[in-house]
Amino acid sequence: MEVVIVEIDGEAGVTVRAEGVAGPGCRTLTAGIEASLGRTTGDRPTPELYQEAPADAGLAAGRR
Amino acid sequence: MSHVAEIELEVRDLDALAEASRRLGLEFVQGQETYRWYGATVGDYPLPAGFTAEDLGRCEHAIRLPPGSASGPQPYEIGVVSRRDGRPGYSLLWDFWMGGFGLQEKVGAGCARLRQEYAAETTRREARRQGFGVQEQLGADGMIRLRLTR
Repeated sequence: MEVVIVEIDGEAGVTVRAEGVAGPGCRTLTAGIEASLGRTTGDRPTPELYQEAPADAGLAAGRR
Repeated sequence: MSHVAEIELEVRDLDALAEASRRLGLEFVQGQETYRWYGATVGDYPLPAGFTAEDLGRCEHAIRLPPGSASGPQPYEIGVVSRRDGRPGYSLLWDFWMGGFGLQEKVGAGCARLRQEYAAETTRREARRQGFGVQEQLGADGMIRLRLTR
């Protein structure tokens, strides 16, 4: 399941993040929501961003 | 979790702004070209970038308390005006002297409450457009938290 969390504080400060998505796919997941709200001024990576996406199952099974 | 994007909110969607206004008990008036304010600036606060004192009081749309909803002086109104700082979207202009006579109670200092509700409504709309389901939580600290899933 894809999960995006949007938090808006009482001063209208907005943060957007993906949950449970490893690798660069998380940026694709949140890009449209971010663009609808305004200009992205900060983008802090968290450790999962540097994990590689899971290997293709076929490759993992030795198919080449 | 993998990255946290910080967004500088831009008010661009008038339909979402109208819905946010309605949720706060206000009316969005499409095409209203002036908004009620004191009528003269004494220069005590800086204007938004690109605006001059002569621009005050003129707008493209307006947001107001429903007529007859406040006792005492007529509440001031919010002017919705295209930004003039090169960024897309609209500025919200209003005279907050004396809280705009009831306006600030609804929209918050600096229109923060209205802008927060606008951001929530814009998120709901874009999330639905992209096929997400939306769950909402209102935190004790005034934070609106939207959890989008698909």
